[in-house]
Amino acid sequence: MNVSSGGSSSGRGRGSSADFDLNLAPIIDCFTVLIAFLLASASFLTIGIFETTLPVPSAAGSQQANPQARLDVILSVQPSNQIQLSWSGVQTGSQKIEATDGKLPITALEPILTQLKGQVPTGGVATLELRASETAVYADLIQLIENVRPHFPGIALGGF
Amino acid sequence: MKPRSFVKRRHFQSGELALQITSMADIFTILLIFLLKGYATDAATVQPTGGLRLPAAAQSAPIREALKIEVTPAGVLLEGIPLIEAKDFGNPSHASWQTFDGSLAAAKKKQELIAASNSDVALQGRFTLIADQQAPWPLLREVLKRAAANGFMEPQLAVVKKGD
Repeated sequence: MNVSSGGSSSGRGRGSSADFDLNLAPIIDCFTVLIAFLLASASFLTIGIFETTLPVPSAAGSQQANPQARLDVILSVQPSNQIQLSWSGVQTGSQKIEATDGKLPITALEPILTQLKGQVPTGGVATLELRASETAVYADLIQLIENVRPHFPGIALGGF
Repeated sequence: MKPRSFVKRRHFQSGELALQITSMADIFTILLIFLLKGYATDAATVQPTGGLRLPAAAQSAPIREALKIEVTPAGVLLEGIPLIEAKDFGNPSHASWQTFDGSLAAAKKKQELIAASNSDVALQGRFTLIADQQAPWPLLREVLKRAAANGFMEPQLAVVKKGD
């Protein structure tokens, strides 16, 4: 980097040009170390979360407080990836959804959940308890939660 | 137009050569600012243990700082400390579950002490469950059950955001 000191011709250093070079080498050294450190510690994957709750035993009493203003759905995953839905509150009922090619019937589940959610009066509460089978894995739970959450934001993990 | 050389001839008389590193300094400065910004804006970071594959999901919420419980094919870790050994998600021993319980109780006690001494800190039952996508439900259920027994009632299930 050439920086002119300007004005006077009584410059120091090399001759009469009064030009000097900043020594950037130590700055580059520091930057290289810092960048290497930051790149090594950087996380390139964005990790997100699904917020859930665990069922509280005392909640049973509150559920009975006003059954006409709430809908409590229990979604149970069977070992063969069938889904058993049962609900109580504004409506009571149950439905079994068969597995699709041995996989969780996510596509068939969506319209049923939409219909159930439509039964909840304005200002009412809709809860969903998710019970997985002994053969289910974490990825299955996440797949279900991701598809259920738009209809039932408050998901509780149950079956303890 | 003739391209400029990165090697600058400074003094023809002495034959001394100097690298023109100004442009390199510019690039490094921009890189450094970009990396520092990313580093500073991550409110809470999670670094999953090696060998752990998180499931992917498109519509997840941003992570919040909480106690971290990891379920890996090798075992269960609490805040990065391996407490339960479970080879390929096998059945852990009763003794290791007791150790896990003890550590959870200690973590809760620590949170209570912090909340008691600092009114700005609310006592929370939140924890982040970072589990492998193939982690079986019976093992996860046991972890959740023991967490709940120690006052941690709000699990945050960790996923990798799709598209990353």
